[in-house]
Amino acid sequence: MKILAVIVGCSVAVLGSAQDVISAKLAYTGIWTKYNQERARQLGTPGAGWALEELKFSGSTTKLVIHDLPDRDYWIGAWSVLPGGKTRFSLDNSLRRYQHSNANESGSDRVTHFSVAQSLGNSKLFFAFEDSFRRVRPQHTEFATNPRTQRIAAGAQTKNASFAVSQTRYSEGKATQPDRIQGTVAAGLFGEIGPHVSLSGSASLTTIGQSGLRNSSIRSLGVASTIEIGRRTSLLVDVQRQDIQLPNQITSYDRHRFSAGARLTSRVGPWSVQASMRHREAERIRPTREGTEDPAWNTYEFRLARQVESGLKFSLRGSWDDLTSSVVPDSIDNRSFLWDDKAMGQAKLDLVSNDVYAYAMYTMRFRRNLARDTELAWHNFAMGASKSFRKGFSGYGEASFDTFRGSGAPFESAESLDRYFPNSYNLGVGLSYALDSKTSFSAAVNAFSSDNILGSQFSFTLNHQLAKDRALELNFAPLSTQDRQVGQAGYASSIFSVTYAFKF
Amino acid sequence: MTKRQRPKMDSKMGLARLRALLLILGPVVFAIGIAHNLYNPLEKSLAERLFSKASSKDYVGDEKCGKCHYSMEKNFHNSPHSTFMTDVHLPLAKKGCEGCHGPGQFHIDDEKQVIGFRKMAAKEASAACMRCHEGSVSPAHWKFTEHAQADVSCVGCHQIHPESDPQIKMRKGADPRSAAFKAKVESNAMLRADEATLCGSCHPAAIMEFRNSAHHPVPEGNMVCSDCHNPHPTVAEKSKQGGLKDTCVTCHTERAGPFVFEHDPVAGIGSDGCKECHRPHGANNPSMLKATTRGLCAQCHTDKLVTHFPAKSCWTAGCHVAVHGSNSSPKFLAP
Repeated sequence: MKILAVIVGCSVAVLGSAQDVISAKLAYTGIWTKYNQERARQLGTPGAGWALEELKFSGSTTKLVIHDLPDRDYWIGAWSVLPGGKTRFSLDNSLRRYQHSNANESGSDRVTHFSVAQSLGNSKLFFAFEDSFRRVRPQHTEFATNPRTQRIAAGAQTKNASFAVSQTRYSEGKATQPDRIQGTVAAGLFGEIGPHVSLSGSASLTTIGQSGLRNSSIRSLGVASTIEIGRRTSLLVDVQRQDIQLPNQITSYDRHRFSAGARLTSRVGPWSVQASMRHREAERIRPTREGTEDPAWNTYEFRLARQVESGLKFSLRGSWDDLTSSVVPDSIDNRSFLWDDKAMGQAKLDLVSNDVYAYAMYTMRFRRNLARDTELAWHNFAMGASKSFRKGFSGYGEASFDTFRGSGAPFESAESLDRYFPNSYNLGVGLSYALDSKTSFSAAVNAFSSDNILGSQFSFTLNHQLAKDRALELNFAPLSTQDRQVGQAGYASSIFSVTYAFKF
Repeated sequence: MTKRQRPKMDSKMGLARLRALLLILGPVVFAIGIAHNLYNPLEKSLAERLFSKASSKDYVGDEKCGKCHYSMEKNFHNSPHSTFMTDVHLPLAKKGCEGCHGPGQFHIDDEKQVIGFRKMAAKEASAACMRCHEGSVSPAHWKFTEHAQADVSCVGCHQIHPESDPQIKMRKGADPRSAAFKAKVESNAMLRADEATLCGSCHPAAIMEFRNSAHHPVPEGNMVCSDCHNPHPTVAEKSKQGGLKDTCVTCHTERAGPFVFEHDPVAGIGSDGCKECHRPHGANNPSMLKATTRGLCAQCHTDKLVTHFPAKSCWTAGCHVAVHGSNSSPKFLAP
């Protein structure tokens, strides 16, 4: 596949013009790991030694990029627009290898993706095909799988209508999960009644076939409209319905779903205001298949934003999800699992000037289950700033804090729920400095911590422009991670690389 | 606990009332809106006004534009947009500088008669782009999107003149790939920056979440924001029509089901779907979870917190490994 991608990429590259550029990066990389070596390589296998790290053809109509060849994890892709701009191709293929906690077992992902889009006249036709294959080899070999997903989609879209058909095939390569084919037919209509009333309608039918099981289906219908009431105010209303057939499912499920909402958007003086209300309800068929339940929710949302003065913006938003009709589960403990209330509030301040950007943001999320006497509140505070001290010299700092607060019976018991909701923080600081027009460096530190984990990453980069089309880059990036729950799972690694980039 | 219980309204009666209200109120509001517009037609956009009154002699050609706007005209030819817009077969109203900025003669006669995208209201600027791009994003479609409702215009994200359009206020810290993360993913969509930088300029907290120990591989360049978020979705996409579960199952297809035994929070209308347990941008807990081990399950299954095998997590202990749904076990036990 690697060879195929190169051939296709080079073939399309021929279509480029005289302005096109070929660039390459030659690199030497050294990597050192300490402590749990396997954990350090769990998400990828960076190669060591010399490698052609990137070969890129960049044209106005064509691009071909190859990352990390040979004998390393790689990504190779080509993108091209045929003259006239009506036909587009893209093809890519990648390999990623990783290690598990047992040094003798490893996994790899190999993904291939191909798409072609053709547009004709004023209307646009499209066709896309994608095939991805993964080879997963976890520590417990009984869970090894070879999942393969194939997607094919085609459709047409005009100013007022769209139509699409798609099919997704999924096979896990073992007997525990049935092979699955999902087919969807979807159509949409857009229209305008007068200059300021828009209408939208959509319908879709999805069928899901699973080997050895009966077919499931989902029918969806939606209608929406925007109405501009004056220059500064508009109203969006929508109604959606889903009819679901899951003949294989034994547990309870939503047979019908209904949702309707309205949102008013307006500008009142310097304020931008949004207010909305949504109602959702479902008809749930019980596991006994006798009788139904009808859970329902009302959701209220608002947003307020104001440009306080040039460069300073304040915004406030909130939502409340209110369960108005609950369900009774078929279990020994028949207290409802559904949250009675879910609320969110957020305040944000943005400051932008010529040399400073700063923000501060507070977010609160709250959940309450009255029947189970459980309340959970999550608070996040994030703030950050960057400043350009002078030409070629800038720095930034950011911090984010997460805290949880719970109350109710589960938090007062001997085994308190509190210990499972760790607070955490994240800090990032960095600066970049240009010594002159040819040489610059940047350095950054990121640290994160919670009750489970403590980690830090440092990166240092030095760039030197040797000539107009040639540059040298030096990178040094040590990182360390301590696992506070499983001490042996901690690891540290350092990567050092020198890259020579040049253009033809 | 019982004193905190609040009375719920009779569900069927409540739903019937609400449905009736919506059925009556919807058409009434809609009719008022139409009537209002029929009797108070709003002003056409600048693009509509300029192009509708232009004749062929009002188009002066790129060369003439370049005489005053030399650098703009020159660097436009480095943009992928120019590949399409310099096609000789295009009509005058969609060709070259004037295809976007309006007939040149009007601007020569009156300096203000030009479509200046960054000086216009977001709605007007977007309307000008959609004269050509209505096949992929029509004005009617665009109005329904969150970005349009938040007054974001096309040029807020897309860069037409590669070297002269203003840069994003480039907060290094907002870009997880600037110094700490080196990977950058180039886009074919003429964006003003790579996606993480671009999206992070308005959504900075999401970028901080990617800095946590467990995250989707955006900082590493293996994913981009638009792999999950569609910046201009249709109404159908917004309501996830066609599928039963979140957009997450597009990649995590093995979780798509439907399973014989479904775990309700994953598929139920009353839940946040996958986000009920996971924080998709990142968290300092394994597998991007909101909480750790058995606490994650016990926030709903409160009765299992103390009495039910108070050991490790419910799934890493090797018992409830199929928490996303099972075809063999109602308790989501290992197959």
